[in-house]
Amino acid sequence: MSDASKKARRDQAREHAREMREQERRRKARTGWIVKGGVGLALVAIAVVTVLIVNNVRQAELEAAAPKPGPANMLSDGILLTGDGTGEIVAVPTAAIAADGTPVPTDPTAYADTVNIVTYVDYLCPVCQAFEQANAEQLGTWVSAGVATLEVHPIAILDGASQGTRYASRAANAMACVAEYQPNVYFQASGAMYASQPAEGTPGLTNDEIALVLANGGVTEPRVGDCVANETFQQWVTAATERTSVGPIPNSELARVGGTPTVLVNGVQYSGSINDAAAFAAFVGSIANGTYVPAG
Amino acid sequence: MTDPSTAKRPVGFAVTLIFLGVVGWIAAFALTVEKFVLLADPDASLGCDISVLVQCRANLESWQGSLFGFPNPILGIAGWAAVIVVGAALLAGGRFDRWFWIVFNLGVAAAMAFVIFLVITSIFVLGTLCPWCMVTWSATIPTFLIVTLHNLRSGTIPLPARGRAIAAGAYSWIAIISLGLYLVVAVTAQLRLDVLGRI
Repeated sequence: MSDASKKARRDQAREHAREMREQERRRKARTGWIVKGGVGLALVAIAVVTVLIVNNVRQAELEAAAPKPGPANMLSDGILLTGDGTGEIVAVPTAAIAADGTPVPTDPTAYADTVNIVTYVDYLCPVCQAFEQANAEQLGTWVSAGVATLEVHPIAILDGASQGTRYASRAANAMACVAEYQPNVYFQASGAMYASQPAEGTPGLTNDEIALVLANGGVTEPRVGDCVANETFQQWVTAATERTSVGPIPNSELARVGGTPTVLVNGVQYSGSINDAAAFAAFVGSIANGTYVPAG
Repeated sequence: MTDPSTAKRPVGFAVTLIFLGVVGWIAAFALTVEKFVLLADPDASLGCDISVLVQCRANLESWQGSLFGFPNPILGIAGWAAVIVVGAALLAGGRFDRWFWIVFNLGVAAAMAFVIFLVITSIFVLGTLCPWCMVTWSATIPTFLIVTLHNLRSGTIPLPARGRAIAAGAYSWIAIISLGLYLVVAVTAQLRLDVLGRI
């Protein structure tokens, strides 16, 4: 073999090695840019996702804070129940309090022929339960017979007594849902809520359990369940409760609701025995026939 | 065979410096001119005033816009010219002593610190996005990165071998790191000023 051909082969091998190195270098550079491009895209994606998430959270906060209307048929912050003339209890239909609006008290002159009973109740309050259990029957009789009206104001002052689950608020919301969607069963549903009232200091019922209690209490409208679950009228519950604690209480001399139950008969507060049906009947009677004499 | 006199010329580094320097200088010059227009006629409409959000009037008129008693962009006109000259000198085969690199690095670090202050001021205090200012921010970030990482990887700023290797690795990532920092500014601006919702 000649020196010339040896040298040619050596040069060829050298050239080949050089090409391999060059290819390897290019491959590495290419891979490097792919990795960098990928990291760059990932950074952009993270930025976009961050913005989207924060925007969503802010939107949700705005929506939660935005004023919402109150429940229908509770323009006065209470639901007004009357007799329909055939022995049934029905609710007086009203508009809802507009978002950011204020309640319009019931005009008592429109109900001059009846004894007008107004109650402020918290569905977690045991004394409210005692009042209800003692008086529900005669209240139902008076209202369905058309001799009395009953205006129930559900409020939530006992949220601190349910281990943080805000049962009082959720129960008041649930009753607002009933007023909104199926107002004519309010009286019955209210009785069911008292019958299933949890003890103070316990977590109370879940929203699902409340919906079940309402269903057993005659609520058949399916939208009530969603309304209870979403706590649709939570804002109204808070606002209505605040209004009773600030006062004044319309159609009465009362400055504010000092506790539950607060029971007014033609604007006069009942201060007798809560669980004595006869005493309450006598009080209502004395108001109705004008023989009531305020104590002191 | 490669010409030995060009073998060690950091062409990429030099060209990047010149490019960033030109971009930064144009922004500084434009802002200075807008400042003159504003001084001559405080009611003049500025080319960079596009909306309440996108404007440079508020930035130019703020005390932060003349932090050292004179309009900030004057610093830019002087400083970016230095960046261009350093880049051009390197391209021409120039070599600098260690002290020169350190002073240069201190200069771009000061620029970076100033820009961080201005970004925060613009987004959180003035609530504006000033177009030429944003060009300045965009140029300053990679300038700081490229000069600092170059000095770290070359050992001008003394560092153990491992640190130098890390700096060399990071140097090839400057574009991505800059992108990441741009995104931090963009996301902050979006969250604070709702830029997209106001265009």
